[in-house]
Amino acid sequence: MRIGVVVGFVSTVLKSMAPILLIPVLVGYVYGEPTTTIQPFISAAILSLLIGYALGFAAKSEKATTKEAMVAVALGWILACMVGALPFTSVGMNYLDAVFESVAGFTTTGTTLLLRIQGIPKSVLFWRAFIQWVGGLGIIASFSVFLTGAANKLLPQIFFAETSKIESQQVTQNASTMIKALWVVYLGLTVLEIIALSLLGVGLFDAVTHSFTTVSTGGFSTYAASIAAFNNVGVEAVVVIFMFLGGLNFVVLNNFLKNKRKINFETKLYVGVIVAASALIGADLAFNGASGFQAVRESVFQVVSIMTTTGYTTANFIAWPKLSQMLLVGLMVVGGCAGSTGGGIKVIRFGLLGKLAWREIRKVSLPKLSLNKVKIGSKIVGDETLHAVAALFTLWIALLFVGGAITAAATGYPVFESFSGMASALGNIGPSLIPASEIPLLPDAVKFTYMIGMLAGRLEIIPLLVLLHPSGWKRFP
Amino acid sequence: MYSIICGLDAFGRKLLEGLLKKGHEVVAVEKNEELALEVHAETNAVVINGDPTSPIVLEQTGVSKADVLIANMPTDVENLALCVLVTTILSAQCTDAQVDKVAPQLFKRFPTPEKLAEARQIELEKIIRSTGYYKAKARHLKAAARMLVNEFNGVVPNSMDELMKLPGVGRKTANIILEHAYNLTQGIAVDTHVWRVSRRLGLSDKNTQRGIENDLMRAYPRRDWHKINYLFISHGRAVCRARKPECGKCVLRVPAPII
Repeated sequence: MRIGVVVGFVSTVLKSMAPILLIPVLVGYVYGEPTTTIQPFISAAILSLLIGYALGFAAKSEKATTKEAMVAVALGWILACMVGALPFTSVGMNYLDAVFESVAGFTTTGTTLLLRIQGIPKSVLFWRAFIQWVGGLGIIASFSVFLTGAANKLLPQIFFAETSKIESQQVTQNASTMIKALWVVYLGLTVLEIIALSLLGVGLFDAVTHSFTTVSTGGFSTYAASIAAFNNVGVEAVVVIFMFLGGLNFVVLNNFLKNKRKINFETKLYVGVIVAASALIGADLAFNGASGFQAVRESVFQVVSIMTTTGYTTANFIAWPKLSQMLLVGLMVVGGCAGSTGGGIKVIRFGLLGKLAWREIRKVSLPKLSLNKVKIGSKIVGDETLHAVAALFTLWIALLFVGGAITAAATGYPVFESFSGMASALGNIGPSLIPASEIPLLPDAVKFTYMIGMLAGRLEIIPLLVLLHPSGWKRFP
Repeated sequence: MYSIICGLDAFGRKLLEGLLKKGHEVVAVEKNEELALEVHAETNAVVINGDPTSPIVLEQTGVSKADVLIANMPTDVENLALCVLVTTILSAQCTDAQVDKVAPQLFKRFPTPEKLAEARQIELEKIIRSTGYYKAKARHLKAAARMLVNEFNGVVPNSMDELMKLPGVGRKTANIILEHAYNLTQGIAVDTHVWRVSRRLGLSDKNTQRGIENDLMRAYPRRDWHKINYLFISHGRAVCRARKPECGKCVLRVPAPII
């Protein structure tokens, strides 16, 4: 591995962070906030710019291999989160908590360590929402497209390392054009939601911040009660629609808008799971005493929020019947579609694993020599892809188990609650069956575990493990 | 209906889709991997990627339970071979079964030519009794083994002339040994089945083994010689029997052999 190539990417990321850090300064200026609030953003911007340029001297601008791209992406994310954490230290957080908040932002998780949201300056609240929006489509590839001219030849590997590894084959053709097209869709969705929320009487600041965290399926809210604070069915409906769109594969969404109106296997499965889970949970709630309207309203919102890994809440599902809780934790693991802003293992991977299982059952009764491939529609899915999916699934479950065990050991929460906490972190969701008010009080070991979980989940584990694996640092390319 | 389609060209493909659409059970066999994968991807049929003229592959299709087999291979030679193979499997006749049972016993008792040469006549007769003509066969076995040891250093020779010196070995047996042991095609083994089938099909009008072999060697290209023996035997056992041949079922009777 050539350190210079990796350093080049990291330098780009740090340099790109500077202008992004200055946007909340404008917000602070508009709302007339004191310089003490604005100061940390400016310091952080200058710091990242300086380090970015300093590292630039060691940078080598050569074509990256897949390994280098993966390492660069993992390091880039960690550094972006560390720099993005600096402004949070001004609202009374220690640095570890600030980094946690930042990681929960960039990875679009949305777990907060802020004990009280009231009284937090608007610039900081804006920053929380804004880093989720920036993190939603993947920072490194986007920075490279918008800010460096040389990026184009390196882009496919970066994009591959940063997004779901399933659909990437389609993207490598012209990654730069594709990323730009996706940003247009992303920006369009965000603007549409801002308009929709404004029309429903939501103030501009709340409309913007919530749109940022809806479309990115992030879930940070400017209210402790999340979307429930609005107490408005219209707002909930709009948020549900945009969460749903954020959980779709953006490549598919982009094609759909370009008149290729074909609904693919993953989208069908995604809709199917949402409908089935909403129906089951709605029935469970109604059976346990909720009115019909309330059951539908609460179940649909929570299901879409958890499945898309946004993590907004309109109901306290910690008090829900156990079946509903079980289903919600199941949805945390499934997550959104590949190539969406959502986290989790991804719908398509579950679809493929299901088909793989079905193939093994079918194999028993088929003639020995007959072909028995996994198909999506009339396309054969190669065994290579299936192996990758199975490996990722295994790693996911292993991390879930380790994180759950650490939670249980360090806190004494019941087993299922402990697992839900790690599932929420790995799936980039936010809320879990651990009460939100108790999250800031978690031991540092658990916070650190969840931080790793959030990053691992966002980068789909492999890049982070390449960083930790000894062979990642060997000289072979 | 349970159908087997061998050969998935455009016609086979169309047939397959038609049968599937009507709700029939279909198994398709195709040699070409790319084509097989394509049909596997685009239909719900059970597709086997293999050569249907190979008994192992054909067995896998469950041919004995099928209602229809469609031989739609690229060439008529393949189609013929396939049809003959199918009729053999269906008739389930195998008089070689006895030989298959006896041979392991014989080779276990007398693992080398030296041991066989020194075998007691009575014991040998007892082992091979069930294969018929056991007295003569036992005598030949012992004598041939002795000659192998004394004149050929215990190794089975690989030329027609040397093989034919061995007691009990004629041109037919020599041909089979050369073909199967040494992969040498020197001629066509003519046994009673090949003899009868060749004459009935009008491929030869000779009255000697050698004469019929020469006619067959002229009628077929050298690369196909090794197939003649087993194909003609299969046909001769299943359809073209010595007594009461099943001419009505004969696939060679019709010009285009598609059943």
